[in-house]
Amino acid sequence: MLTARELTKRYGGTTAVDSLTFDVRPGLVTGFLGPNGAGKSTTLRLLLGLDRPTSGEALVNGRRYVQLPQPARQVGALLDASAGHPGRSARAHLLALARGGGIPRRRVADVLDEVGLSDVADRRIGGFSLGMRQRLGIAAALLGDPGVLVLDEPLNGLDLDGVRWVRGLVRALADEGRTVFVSSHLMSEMQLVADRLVVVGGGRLVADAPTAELIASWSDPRVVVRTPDPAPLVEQLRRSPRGPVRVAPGADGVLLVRGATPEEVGDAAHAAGARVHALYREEASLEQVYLDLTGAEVRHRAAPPRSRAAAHGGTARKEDR
Amino acid sequence: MTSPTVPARRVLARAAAMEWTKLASVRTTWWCLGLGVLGMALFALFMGASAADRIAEDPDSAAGFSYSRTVSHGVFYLVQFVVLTLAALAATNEYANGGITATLLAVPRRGVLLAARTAVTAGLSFTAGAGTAALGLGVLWLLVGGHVSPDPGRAAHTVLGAGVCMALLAVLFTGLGTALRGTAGTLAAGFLLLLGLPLVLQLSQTQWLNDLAACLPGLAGIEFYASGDVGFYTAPHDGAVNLWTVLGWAVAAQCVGYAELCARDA
Repeated sequence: MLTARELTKRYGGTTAVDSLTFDVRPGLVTGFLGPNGAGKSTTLRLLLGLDRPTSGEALVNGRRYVQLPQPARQVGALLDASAGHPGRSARAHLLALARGGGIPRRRVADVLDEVGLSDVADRRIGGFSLGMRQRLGIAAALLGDPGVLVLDEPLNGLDLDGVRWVRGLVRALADEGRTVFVSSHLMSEMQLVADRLVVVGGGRLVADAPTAELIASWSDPRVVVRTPDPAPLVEQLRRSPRGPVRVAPGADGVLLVRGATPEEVGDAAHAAGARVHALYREEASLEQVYLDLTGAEVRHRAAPPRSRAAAHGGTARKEDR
Repeated sequence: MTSPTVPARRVLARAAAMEWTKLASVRTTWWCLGLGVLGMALFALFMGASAADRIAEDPDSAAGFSYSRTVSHGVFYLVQFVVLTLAALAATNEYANGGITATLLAVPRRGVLLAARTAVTAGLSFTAGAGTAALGLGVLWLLVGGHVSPDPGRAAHTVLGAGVCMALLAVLFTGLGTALRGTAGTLAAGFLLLLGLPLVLQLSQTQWLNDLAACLPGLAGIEFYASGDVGFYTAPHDGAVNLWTVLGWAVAAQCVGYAELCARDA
């Protein structure tokens, strides 16, 4: 169980974390989302007692991390750049952490095996690839067989095999009743693996809800229709008796229809005599929800790739063919 | 998931085991110590050989030879810089490579971590100081023993004194490194304290500045382990006061290091 209560961290004039309040419960995979600079890593560091909050509380199992008896057996964490001395072997690195945390020595071999680093255990960490370092970090997090896991961007540097492994691992850990708190930028992964999401933007809490609920409540379902005759279809849809139907051009010359079901769009096409080459409901993705939620809070925004005319109401481009 | 409370002594012992494992699993540590041993052996070899030649030519010059003074020079010019490097690396390298995060997750209590780290580097430095001093005495004895016999009491004082002083310097530089968090800065500060500042103060040719040099840890240290027979410098005071001076520096540096470690985010 992780608890943030009115958690605030200020660096000089900037507020990195702004009175965050949320719980991370056991038995679930909780995703931690937010744009770069949203305060995710700072929040994790506050929870783990590495940084000191300006005000508010960050608690693990009801206590501050520093006050935990045997913290390494209660909490395991993967934070970026926590690999340690490049000249040390993976085994020695884990052995040192085991000794410091009062963890039996045999766990070192166990976790090396679990993350698939047994073969390279006696090689220097400095020669490890990013993926191997990430596995070593996960091994360190699992070392104390902890009830709470905090994983900051665990998929960084992993190949597809590694990603699938982490996905299974995270699921299994939560199913064993552990508290699992995972930050990631990979929305599709989060959608797959997180039962619950905590979303932050600009240091503030933007959402804290089950993943499915969040997607359902925030998504904006659309019908995608591909037609070589957009003009009559748009005309027909505008005259829909059901009220406001918004039509916008999408990528590759498709039309995006909001406010109508696929059946209604199909009927309208039939009535307008427009040919239909494709017609489907677009499933809402976490990515869209995330962009909607954090849109106002993005700190480092790149310039748009090209200026796009905001076309509402159906000035559909003709398909280039 | 509640765990039983662990006695403080056990927590400290675990942290020390962790620090020792980290120190011992890095090649730099052994390179440092190896260079210290090699340096002292070669130094004693040259000094002993030239002393033996001198005494063979002029037996009266045997009276001017001092085992303790010669070995102390080796400790002052070579071994204490090995100790400085070891302590600086132990205190600062994790800030450069990110290891401090994993370390503080395993041992979140700052005071425990600093105490363990200091104890381990001090223990290793005691061994380095006493061991190299004993080695130096042994080499000198092999070369000069035919002409001059070492005084067992003074030899023992030099060995133990060098060990204790090197341990205290390790305490000092572990504290200083913890406060500064940078290896280069710690090494630079160490060189100034041990060698640069005292040399400059003595160059001043002003008596009170010259005397002030005795308050710096390097000179106070050699004054102690050489039992006042330094040869190139005479502090206004002999004996234990010099050890207290080094101890004072060590305690002060630890206080600053602890305050920094607690106050600043990791």
